[in-house]
Amino acid sequence: MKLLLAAAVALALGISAAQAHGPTRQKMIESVDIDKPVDKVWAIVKDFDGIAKWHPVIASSKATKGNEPGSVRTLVLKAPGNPEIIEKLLTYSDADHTYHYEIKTVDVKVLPIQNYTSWLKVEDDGHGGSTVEWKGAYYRGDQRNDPVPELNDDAANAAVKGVYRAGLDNLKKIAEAP
Amino acid sequence: MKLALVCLVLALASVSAHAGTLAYLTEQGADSVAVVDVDSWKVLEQIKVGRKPAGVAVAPGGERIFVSNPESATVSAIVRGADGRHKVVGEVKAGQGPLGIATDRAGKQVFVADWYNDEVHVLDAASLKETRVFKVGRSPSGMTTSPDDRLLFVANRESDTVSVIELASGQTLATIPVGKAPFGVAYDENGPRLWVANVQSSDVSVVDPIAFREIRRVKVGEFPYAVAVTRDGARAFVTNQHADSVSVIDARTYAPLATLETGAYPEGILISPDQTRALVSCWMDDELDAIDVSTLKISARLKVGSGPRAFGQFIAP
Repeated sequence: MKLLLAAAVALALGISAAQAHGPTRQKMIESVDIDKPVDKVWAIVKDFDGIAKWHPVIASSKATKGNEPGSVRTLVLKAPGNPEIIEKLLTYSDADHTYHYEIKTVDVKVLPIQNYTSWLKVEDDGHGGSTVEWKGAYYRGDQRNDPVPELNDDAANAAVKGVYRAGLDNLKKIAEAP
Repeated sequence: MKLALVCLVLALASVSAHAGTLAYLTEQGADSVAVVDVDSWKVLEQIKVGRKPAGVAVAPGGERIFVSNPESATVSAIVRGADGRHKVVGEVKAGQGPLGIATDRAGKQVFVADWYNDEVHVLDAASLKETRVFKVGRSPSGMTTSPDDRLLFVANRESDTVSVIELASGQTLATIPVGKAPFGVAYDENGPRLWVANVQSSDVSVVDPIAFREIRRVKVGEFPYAVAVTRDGARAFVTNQHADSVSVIDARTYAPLATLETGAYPEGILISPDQTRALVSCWMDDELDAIDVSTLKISARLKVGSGPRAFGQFIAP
């Protein structure tokens, strides 16, 4: 029904396949400034299996091999039906306070994206505090030339931005708590 | 009179200053192409093109540059004038989802791979008029011709094959099975060999472009995107999109030589014409990295505009 509605809207607006977007990779970069030193902030986010400790929509985050590249974590979300996201650690650097991972499996109804990779990095802001940057590269959920609205580029970007903001803003609250 | 002469000399000097090696990086997030002087390591110009440009093909000689714009479904043609300045001289429709783009070695034809319609559109390089359409496998991407311009090789990403098209007849002579999700291709006259990056099997297929069969499979990092081979056939460089690295392979023995950390999401890669550097376009970090081909170290990084992909022949001699 929803699909039919989308098609009707597309027709009404005169959107043809020729005008629709191609599968251009999307990029999202969000950051937060935290009034605490790098070491303290990195200590909160450094564990690949520890994201449930600081991200408000993640209930649990068990990983197979800790912080070793290749480690696979299963995120269980705080949402109806407890949906899961399976992610794999690609690179990890304790010295540079960063790690890089990809999503192996996710239902587009949970997160409307495909072929997603992400980087998390904590940096010294030069004034005793730190900046946490969360970056993502991904494609929209529907890679056809004429995607349904709920799986288009805007939907993908809104969803990823929402995940990053929720996590970063909560991280700031936790880190700066007295 | 004397002043006029000085001006003339200066003008000539500026032409020769621009006649060095140039790199053209499609900046997907900025709807532009960065022109980089590879020798002075500076961005010279930023040229506005169509929406979300991805593929690029510098025609032999370097005076004409073709760019695919997937979101406008067009190809832009750029001309480098005698004064070294660049100008967009045309933008034409090319299928539903133009991505991969290449010219023949004569610089007369432009091949545009249509991701959605499983076709290669052939444009006349001078008029930009479409002359022919070849049906290929699903979601065609990287392309290259044989040095004699007899054959066109097309990687079909969703069919796990490479199509071989005879350009004179337009016939498909062979469809060669390779690894999973082939994307970037490079023709290497040593062998000869065709190198194909297989995105989803994390390896590179080495294809015999005369016998039309795969002869070797070489393991690289996660999500290999494009391959560049030194002119002497000694070393192959492969960008690994999901590993933020470049794999270096001994192209004679196929042994792995090194894995080099690069900027995030490395994509287009080519060897500089003087064979000293491999240039890597890093999409996520908005930078161009230079790898010293002999020491295998990153020798320089240059900030460019948003989302450089540089998929194709992005260097002008």
